[in-house]
Amino acid sequence: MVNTKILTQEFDYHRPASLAEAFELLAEYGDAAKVIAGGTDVVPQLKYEKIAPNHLVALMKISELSDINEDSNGLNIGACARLRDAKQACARGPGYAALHDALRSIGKVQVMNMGTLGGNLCTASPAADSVPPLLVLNGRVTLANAEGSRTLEIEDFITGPYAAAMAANEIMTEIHIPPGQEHQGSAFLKIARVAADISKLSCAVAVQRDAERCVSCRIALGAVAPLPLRIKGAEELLGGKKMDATLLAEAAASVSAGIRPISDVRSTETYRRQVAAVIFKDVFDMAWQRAGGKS
Amino acid sequence: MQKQHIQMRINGEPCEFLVEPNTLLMNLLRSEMELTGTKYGCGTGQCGGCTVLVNGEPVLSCLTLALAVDGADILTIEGVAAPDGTLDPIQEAFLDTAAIQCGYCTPGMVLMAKDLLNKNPSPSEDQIREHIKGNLCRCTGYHRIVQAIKSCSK
Repeated sequence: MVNTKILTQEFDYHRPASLAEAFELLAEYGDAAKVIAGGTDVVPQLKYEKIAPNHLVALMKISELSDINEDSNGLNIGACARLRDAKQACARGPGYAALHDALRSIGKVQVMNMGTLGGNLCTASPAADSVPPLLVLNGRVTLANAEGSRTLEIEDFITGPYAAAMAANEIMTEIHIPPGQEHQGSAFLKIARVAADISKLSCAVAVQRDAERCVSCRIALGAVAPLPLRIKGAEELLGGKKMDATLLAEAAASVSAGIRPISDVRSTETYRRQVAAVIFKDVFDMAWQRAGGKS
Repeated sequence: MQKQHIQMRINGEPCEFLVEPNTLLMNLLRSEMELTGTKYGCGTGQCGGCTVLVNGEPVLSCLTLALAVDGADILTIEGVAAPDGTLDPIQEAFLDTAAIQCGYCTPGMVLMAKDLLNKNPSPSEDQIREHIKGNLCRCTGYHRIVQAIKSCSK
C-alpha cells in the first residue's frame, strides 16, 4: 500500500529561470534529474515510486515556455502552457478543432489549471487525450538542449507506453499545429466511465472534403494499443471516394479490426472493438460536417 | 534534501516557511497552518477534496509541491467567510439547501462554487455540473449541491 497523503521520496528541487539554466541542471544531474511542469503526472508517479529522481527541475518559472502564438504556419503552443490556455488557443481557428474537443473533454477545472500540454505529451500515456488529435492534425513538437533544437512529428515522438523519443538532456519547448485549410474539418470524442475519468477509448479524425467526396482523411485512436494509433487502412479506404453510408460502415469495420485493444479494469477487448466502430462513425460525421463549413 | 525558504499569502495573511522539497501544499496547510478544512481524500488528484485557490484558480493541493507555489496567494475554505465570521452567501446557500451530509467534500465544493460564481455570476445547471465534475461527493448525489450553487446564481 502506498500512503498517498505524503511524498516519502527525497529530492532536491530546482527552479531555473531560463532554459539555459535548466539545460545546465540537466547536464549536471543527468539521469538523476526529472523535469516537472504542472505536476499532475509527476507527483503521482513519485508517490507510487514509478520514478525516483534525486533532483526535480521545475520549468514553470521559465516564462517563454508558456507562450502561445499563431502565425501563418499555424498555432505554436509553449510546452508549459496550462491546458486551459491551450484549450482557449485552440478555439482560435477551425483548423485546431480536434485538439480543442480533446482539451475540452479533460474538463476537470483543477487539472486544466495545473496540467500542461507538453506534460501530457511527455508522459506519453497510451490514453493521453491530446495525442490522437495531434496525430490527425499533423502536429509536431520541438525538443531543445544546450546544443540546439529539433522538431519531430508527433508520430515519431511517442514511441511506446509512457515512452517518448526524448534524451535526458532535452526539454520540450513547443507544440506546433499547422493552420487549417479550407474544406478541412476535424473532431475528437472519447468514451470514459464518468466525466472526469481516464479514456477507455478515444478517436480523432481530420478530413479534407470536396462536396460529397472525401479527398483524404486521417484517423487516430487512443487507449486501444500500447501507443496511440493511426488506422491507415481505413484512411486509404476513404481517400478519394464519394462518401456514403456503406463506405463509412466499411471504414468503421476497418477501424475496429485495426486496433489492438486489451481487456483491463476499464473495458474488455470485445467492447473496445465494438465501440471503436461506433465512435469512429460519430467522430467522422462531426469532422465531415465541420469540413462542410458547419460547426 | 535541501530545505528552501518560501513565502506566500494564505487567506490574506503573509506567511514564511522553510520547507523540505517533498512537502505538499496540502500538508503545509493542514499541519503547519492547522487549516484542516483542506481535505485529504485520494491523494492522487481524482476526488477534488484538497482543492484550494492559488492566485484565484482552483488547484489540487495534494499534487502541488509547496515550493511550486512560492509567492502565491492561497485561499482555503477557512478564508471564505469574512474575518468577523459572517458566512459567504455560497456557504449560507449550502446550509439553507442542506447541501451537506458528511461534509468531507464541502470545502472543495464551496471553493469550486466561489470560483465559478466569480467568473460567471449566472451559471446554468449544466455549467455548474461541468465546473464541479472534478469534485466527488459520495453522499448527496450532487442534487442539493447543484441547487445551492444555483440559488446564488444572479
